[in-house]
Amino acid sequence: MGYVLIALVDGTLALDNRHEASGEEAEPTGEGRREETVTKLTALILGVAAWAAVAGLAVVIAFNMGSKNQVLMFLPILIGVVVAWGIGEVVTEHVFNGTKEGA
Amino acid sequence: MAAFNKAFHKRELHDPGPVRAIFSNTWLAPLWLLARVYLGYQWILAGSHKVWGDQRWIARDGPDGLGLKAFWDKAIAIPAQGSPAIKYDWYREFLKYMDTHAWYHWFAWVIAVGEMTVGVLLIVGAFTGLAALVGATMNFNFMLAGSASTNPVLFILAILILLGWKVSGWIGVDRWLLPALGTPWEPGPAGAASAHEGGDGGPTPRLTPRRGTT
Repeated sequence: MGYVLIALVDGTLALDNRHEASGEEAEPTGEGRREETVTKLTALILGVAAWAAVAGLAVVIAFNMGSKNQVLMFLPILIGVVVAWGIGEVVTEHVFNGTKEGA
Repeated sequence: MAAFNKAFHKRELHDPGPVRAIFSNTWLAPLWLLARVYLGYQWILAGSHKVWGDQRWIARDGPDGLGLKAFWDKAIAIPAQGSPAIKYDWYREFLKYMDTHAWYHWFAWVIAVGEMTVGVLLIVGAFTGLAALVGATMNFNFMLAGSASTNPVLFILAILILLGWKVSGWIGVDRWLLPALGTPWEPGPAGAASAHEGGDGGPTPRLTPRRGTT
């Protein structure tokens, strides 16, 4: 299950397993690899939480403000989406691409 | 026969540049974001009245779905004068069947939860194409039932988002979800992982090229 969850973000672990299956040496190994996996899982959980927060924000705004002044209601949701996406881009770049391709 | 073979044999017609730019280029993703969030907010608004407040359809003290039953009763009624709300007899019979069999108890949940789910998925941009398709289907049914309201505009918007499914969720969860899950014709790492765990022994599907890879 964790395998699939990690793969959901960028497929990094899937590529790792392909290395293992083909007999290539996976880097890093042992403790380093575990630490890397924990970092990726943490990033994934935080990412899911961020998007859940955006969804919650949209629901709270819609329930409390309804159709009153929709432009004002629209903006915080839009900003929330853009911020969550931007953070996701940066985190993906640093946590996932950086570990495999930055070296 | 030869003429038909010549006309249909493996001929692939390509979209013109402007169409590809609109529906396939990430450069226009911000435009799709605006359309998507607007549509999603409208669905959450529509769903909020059905799941919350005194007039809600579901989770009431009494039987659920009475609001939906009232809507159906009004839609299938044939007035003594003027034209009925529903133009198609088959659709009126369809609603009448659901009404007389008291399907409104559970169907109210389908609509209320469906509207909220479509709204949330559109706003966060997860499974955007699928969410737009479900939304368009609901709009289509509301229009068939004689309820115009904002449905025509929302329907057109949903169809456009559906056509641009590859990029409409780019500034959203689909940015990571689609490359990972893949598509029916190009499975992603998650699909490859499932096949690997299943031990089917098949070839590893081609992975979507990763961003930043040169």
